[in-house]
Formats: sequence, C-alpha cells, structure tokens
Amino acid sequence: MQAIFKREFLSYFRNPTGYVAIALFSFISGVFFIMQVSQGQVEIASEVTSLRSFFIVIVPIVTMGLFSEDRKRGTDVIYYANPITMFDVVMGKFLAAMSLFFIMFINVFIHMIATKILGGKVGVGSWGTVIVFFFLAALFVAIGCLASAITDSQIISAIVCFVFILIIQLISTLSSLLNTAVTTLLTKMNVGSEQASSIGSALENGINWLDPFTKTKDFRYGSFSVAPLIFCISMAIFFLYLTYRLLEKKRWSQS
Amino acid sequence: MNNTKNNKIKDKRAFNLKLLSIGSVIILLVIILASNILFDKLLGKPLTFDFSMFGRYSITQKTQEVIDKIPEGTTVRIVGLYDVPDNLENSVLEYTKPLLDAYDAYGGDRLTVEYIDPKTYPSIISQLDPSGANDLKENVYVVKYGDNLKVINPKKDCFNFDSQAAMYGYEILTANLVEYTFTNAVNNLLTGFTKHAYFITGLQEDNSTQIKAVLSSMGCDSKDLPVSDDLTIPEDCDILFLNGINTDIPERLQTQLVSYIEGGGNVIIAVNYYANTTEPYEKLNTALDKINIKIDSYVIQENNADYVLGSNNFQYLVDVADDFKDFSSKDQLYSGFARPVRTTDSAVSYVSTYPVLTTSDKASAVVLTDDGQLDLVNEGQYNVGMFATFNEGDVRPQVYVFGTTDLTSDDFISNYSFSHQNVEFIRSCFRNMLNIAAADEVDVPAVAIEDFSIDSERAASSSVTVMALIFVAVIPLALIIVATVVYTRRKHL
Repeated sequence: MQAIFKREFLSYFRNPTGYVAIALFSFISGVFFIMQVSQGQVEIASEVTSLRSFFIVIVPIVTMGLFSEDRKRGTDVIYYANPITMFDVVMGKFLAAMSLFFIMFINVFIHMIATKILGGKVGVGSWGTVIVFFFLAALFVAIGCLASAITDSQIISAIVCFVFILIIQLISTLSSLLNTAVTTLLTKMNVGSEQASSIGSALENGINWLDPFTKTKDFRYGSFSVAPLIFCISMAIFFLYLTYRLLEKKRWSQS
Repeated sequence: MNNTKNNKIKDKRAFNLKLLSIGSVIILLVIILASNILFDKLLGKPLTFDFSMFGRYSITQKTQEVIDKIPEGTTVRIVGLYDVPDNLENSVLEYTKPLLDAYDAYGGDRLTVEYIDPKTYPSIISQLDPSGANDLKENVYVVKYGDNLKVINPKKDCFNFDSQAAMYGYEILTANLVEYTFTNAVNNLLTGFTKHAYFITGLQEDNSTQIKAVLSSMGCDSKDLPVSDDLTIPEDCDILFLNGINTDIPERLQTQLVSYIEGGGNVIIAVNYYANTTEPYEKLNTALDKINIKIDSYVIQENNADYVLGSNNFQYLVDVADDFKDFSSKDQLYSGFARPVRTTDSAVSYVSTYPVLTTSDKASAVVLTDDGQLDLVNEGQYNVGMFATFNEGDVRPQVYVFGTTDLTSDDFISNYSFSHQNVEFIRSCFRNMLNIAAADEVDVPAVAIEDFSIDSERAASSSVTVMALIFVAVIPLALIIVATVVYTRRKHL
C-alpha cells in the first residue's frame, strides 16, 4: 500500500493536476478570507463551510485520473500481475488523494494564523468545520475513486463524479421538490391534505437523512456529534468497497 | 464435449463471482444503513458534545430544574409555527432550534418541541388557541401548558440588538436570550402570573419592552396604563412604573400617585436629563414631596476620572449605597445624563429616605443656561437614585426614584443585556417589592454573542491589500506557473 500511495501521491506533482488543484483551492479560499477581512469580521468556520461547495469542482480534478489513467495506459496490469491486493491499491490511491486535500488545506491553516495575527478569533466552530471538511472530503474522494474505476476516460470519470456530488449537494432541494410533488399528487387523489403533507414530509425527511451536509451543519457552531462522522466514514467505506469489487472483477476477467 | 464442460464450469464460476460481488455489496450497504440508523437513534444524542462558545446549545441547570418541576402526566408543548428551513444559517432559528432540541431531549414526555407549519396544517392554530384570543400567526413559537399559552417571537423576544446600529438599519446582536425567554415562559406557565406591573403611558415616555421582559421572567405580568382624565391605578397593581417619562404628569395622575403611595403601593420612577433638558417635573415633584424626594432640573457631571466612562463626563459610574450593596454583585453601576435626586427641604416625619446610587464627591451639577452655555452649580456628592418608605404605621410603600434611565431603558438593556449589573440591581429592587425569594426566581443568564471582529488597526487597508495580493494572486499564480513548467518539461515523456 505504501508503494502505491507514494507513487500516486508523487504523480500529482509530476503532472499539472496537483498544482492546478492547489492553485484553485488557494484562490477560492483566499477570496473568501479576504472578503471577510475587508468586512472587519473573520469567521474561519464560514470560509471552510463555503469551501465545501467547491468539492464539486476540486474532487473530480483530484480523482479523475486515479484508476482511469492506469487503465488507459494499460499500467493497471501491474497491479494484477504483482502480489498485492486490490485493497492495497484502492487504499493507497484513496490516501494519496486525501493527502493532496491536506496539502490544499494548509491554505486555511495559514488563514487561521493570519486571523490570530489580526486580533481575530478562531473558535471551536472553526475546528468543527475543519473536522467535517476532511470527513466529507473522504466521502467524496471515495465517490471519485469509484467514478474513476468505472471508465478509462478521465473526462467521463470527472463528469460521473461531478454528477454524484451534485446530486448529494442538491439532496435537500430535491427532497423538498419530491415532498411538494407527492403531496400534490396525493391531494389530487383525494387523500386528506394534512395526511398527504405528512406522507410528503416523511418522504422528504427520509431522503434528507442521507444528506451529509445537513448532518454535519452543527459542527460550525461547536456542537460536535459522532453520528454524522460515522455516516461519512461508513459511506466512504461503501464506495471504496464498490471500487474494490470493480477492480477485483477486472482482475478475474483479465486472468 | 470437454470444451462445453469447461465453459459450463467457467460460466458457473463467473456467475458465482458476480453473485458474490453483488451480494456482498448489498449486504454491506444494508449493514451500513442499518448501523447508521441504529447509531443515530440510540447514541446520536448522547454522543453529541456542545463545545460551542458559551455552551449555547446546552440547557443550564436552572432550565433542567424548571423542566423537572413539570408535574408527571402533564406536558408543556413548545410548538414552532414554522416551515423549518434546511439551512438555518443567518436565520433566527440558527440559535433557537439547536437549543430547543436540547430542551426536547431533556424534557422527555413532560416537555416536547415540535415544528408545525400552519400553512400545511391550518388546524394547529385552533388546536393551540381555540378561542383565537392570541391571534396566532406563522413564524412564532407557542409555549402551551394546559389552557394557557405564551407566544414568543423568536427574534424580538430572544435577542438583544445594538440600538445605535438599529438606528442605521443594521441588526447587530448583543445577547442571546433564547434560553432565558423559553425557560421563563415555561416557568411562568407552570406557576401562573401572580403579580402585575402597570406602566404609565402617554407622557412621551421611552419604550419599556426590555424591562417588561425582565419583569416577565420574574412572573410579573406588565400592562400599559394610559394617562387620562379618569385614570385610576388598578387594585391589582403591584408595581407602578413611570419609566423614562419626558413630560410632567397630569394632575389626575399626581393625586392618584399620592393616594397609591399612601395606600402602601410600590413605585419606580426613572427620568433623565438627556431627553428633556427643560422639563422641571413640577407636578411629579409635588407628588414626590409627600415622600420627601425631589428631582432637580440639572444634569450631573462627574469630575472624578476614576468614575468617568470613556471621554464623556456625563456618563460615569455611580456607587451603590451601603444599604443596597447586596442588590448587585458589583459596587458600581452605570449612569448617564442623570438628574440629581435629593431629599426635600420640608421633610415629613413618618417618611424615611435613603440614597441608593451616589456619585463621587467631585461631581458637579450643571445647568444649561438660556444662551446654551453650561453653568456649574456646586461640586460635591449627588444622589442619582433614592428610596423612600414610611417608618410608622402598617402601610409601607416602596418608592424608588432614579435620575437616570440606565437601569430601565430599552436602549441600555439592549446594548448591555440582562446580565449587566444595572439589570441585576433593578431585578433586586423588583424582588424586594414583589416579595419574591431569590431561590424562587428563574435567573437564566443571557448568553453573549460570539465576536469575530478583527483589530481594525492591524487590519489597515494597506495590510489587507498586501494579504489580498498574496492569498488571491501570488500563491495561486506561482502554483500555476509551476504547473506550466512541469507540463512543458514532461509532456514529451
């Protein structure tokens, strides 16, 4: 796993991908930080929360080449031919992508230091959002791994990852629309309006339960809960397992 | 024959592998979802930790005690007439909902918190308020116990705002009163309002919203009493308030006030110099003459630098007199643009007066002359507040007269909130007048609002420009240049 991790991590800096991702992250986080400084109030939690919206752009950039590039070049045969498990391959690449996220995040740590120098506060909520950031990053990078494993085209992989993350970011909006649609439909079917609303709301709440953003929103206020973190990690494990199964399938089909 | 057999074996093996793959994925997904649901239900709340500044998502011991007082078999319902937004950020519910979740978690069957949107469930209005007396509308909270209910505006009732910023159209929170408001509402519904305060209106007085909230938290209901030709102070009046009146009282009120005091009533009078510099309050002073107190038409200027607040000699600290030291945790209160309050020259023998708040002995009274100049009168110690009562007979009225409104005005309480020593002091005055034991009172502290301001001197525009240049331009551009170099060098490899 260590060898895979090292190879994958260094590959980010042997081509422009890593630099572009870090540059993009630096620029976006810098804009958020400077906007707050110019207003005389700096809340790092607000900056990190805003940065989460850019997972949709950054995660596909970071993960699109993880497996698809190997398949395209045919270098994936190395994994099948060597005495390493697919688990090591998946985890090595996943950890390499997460490490790149950590390097990107150094920008925010610099902003925290700048905030302290400017006489501002870095509250508990800020650290809460940092924790959540990495757990959400783990979930989305795992999704990116899966997207990269299903195709040998980096572009398709990026699009699939983008769509996945977009759906997750829009879960609450989609569930709300579904609630309205179901309630309207049931009302037209002569179900009592309050009963129809109850069914619609239950459906909405059920779908919203899957929204990692809603689950982790209280961290920014300093209310830390273990359950949302377990949710993110377990879902990340699920997507990594899917990736592992896909690679295993290919290994067997190769043999 | 052998080929067919081999193919069959391969097909079977492929099928088994596919089955294993799909089966294991489904089983893992089911395990993950089930364990998350279980974890959420069983350990979600116990494994949630409030590290927030000032513990704003945790209920205090006081609130727990109030909830514990709810009799078994009865329920206090807190109903938010809301369509709760998915994103609470920048909404009033940002502070309210998470804290009320803590009430709900602690309350069990005795206290429940629900959110019901009246647009979706119109019947909730009639369910909560069958008589329609409270004219319930959406976007408020209703606290209901038995047949009684209290309506709470989640913005106006649950926060203090900076009054100066409000004048310019900005809303800057100065204190979070969510727990204070809800716990007191629950407590008041449990105990019932037994005391009544009346506020004289119609004398260009300041608003008294904040002081009414303080009274409400002590189980004392507040009502307005407009001045009129047939004004009568009600029988059930436990405290009569003349808060921040800017014109003199009419003759009818003068006579009513005298008879109310002579009948043993409790009165709090607060005026200042700032709002009306020319008003001598002749009729009010005539009434106060019966208890040996007079409000002067000067403004007090503090000349002792240790007492002055900021650079303004008219805003300063005042000492709490020895007899009232236990009214506040601090020995000095804030005062601004105060009129002197003193004993009258013709003292009535059965009246005892006591200084309550005093300036330093270097203060002076200042008179604004007709040509707008300030004229210093006498240097010495002045009273900013006095107390009077009768020292004989069964009737013992309690009258507090303050030459400042810094203990009772909306402006002051909004800016400094309910935990300030001035509010603490006036609460003690109420407690004495209403005969409330301190232990019976629910004194939930107001919570300060996090301040993320940066030092404006350190964040001067030049340093912000340098930072903007570094964070937004230099670092990203440097990385893009490196990316270009890497790409150019390695594109042929």
